[in-house]
Amino acid sequence: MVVSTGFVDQAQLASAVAKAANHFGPEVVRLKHSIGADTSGDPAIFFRIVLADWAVDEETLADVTGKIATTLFDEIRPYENWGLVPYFSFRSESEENTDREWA
Amino acid sequence: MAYHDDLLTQAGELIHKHEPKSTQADLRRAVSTAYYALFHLLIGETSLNWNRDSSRDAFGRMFDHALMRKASQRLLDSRLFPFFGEDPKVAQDLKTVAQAFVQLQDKRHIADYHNGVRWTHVESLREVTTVRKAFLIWASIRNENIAQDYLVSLLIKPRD
Repeated sequence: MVVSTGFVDQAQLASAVAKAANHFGPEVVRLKHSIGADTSGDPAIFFRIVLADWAVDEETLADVTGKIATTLFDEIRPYENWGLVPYFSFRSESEENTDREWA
Repeated sequence: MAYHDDLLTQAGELIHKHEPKSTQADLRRAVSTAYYALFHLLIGETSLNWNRDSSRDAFGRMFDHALMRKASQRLLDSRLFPFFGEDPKVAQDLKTVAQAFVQLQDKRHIADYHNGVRWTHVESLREVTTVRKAFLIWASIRNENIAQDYLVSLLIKPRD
């Protein structure tokens, strides 16, 4: 795919994402990503992460999702290696089963 | 309470207002309100460095959403900000705040304008709790030099 900073090798990127996903625990049920432009028009990578229902708790949600985002950030280095701004979206498994919009 | 604290409280109230049958208006306004809580926190913190009380509000009007996002993005690029010699924990905390700002600004835009996007409870709750965490982190690093440098950078157009 061509983004404003150049070419992104999607196969290499997918491989980097898959490698990063190996670091996750059972709280992550599914991880998908896509590339495109953010609302400012900057090239971006969008991570869509499905969490196990038991992992969704208001008191710990920021820590759980923050740790997942930091792992993806550190392993993929989206700014440095890919010129992409990372964004993270999280849903629970039951939400994902009810609304297949993300599938 | 300060305005940014009130906004964050309001974002949390919106999330739970009609739970478990939250409306899209609840979930989208919660995300938008959470963004503005963080936006005003950072403006308020920067403005505290402006000594003249009578012109502090006018100073606060100088901030620009796009410039603040760009400054936050630059801080997340380790080639531009390697933070050599800094406490790694403080540097990571500051990055967490900057990442929250970048993320929330994009989500705010989607929440406010993209009617085709359906928000779930967890998606919205995640954004609100991320801002809550950013508030707590900020309170712990606000007096660090790199945190204060970040505040200044929010006002400065980068010269590439």
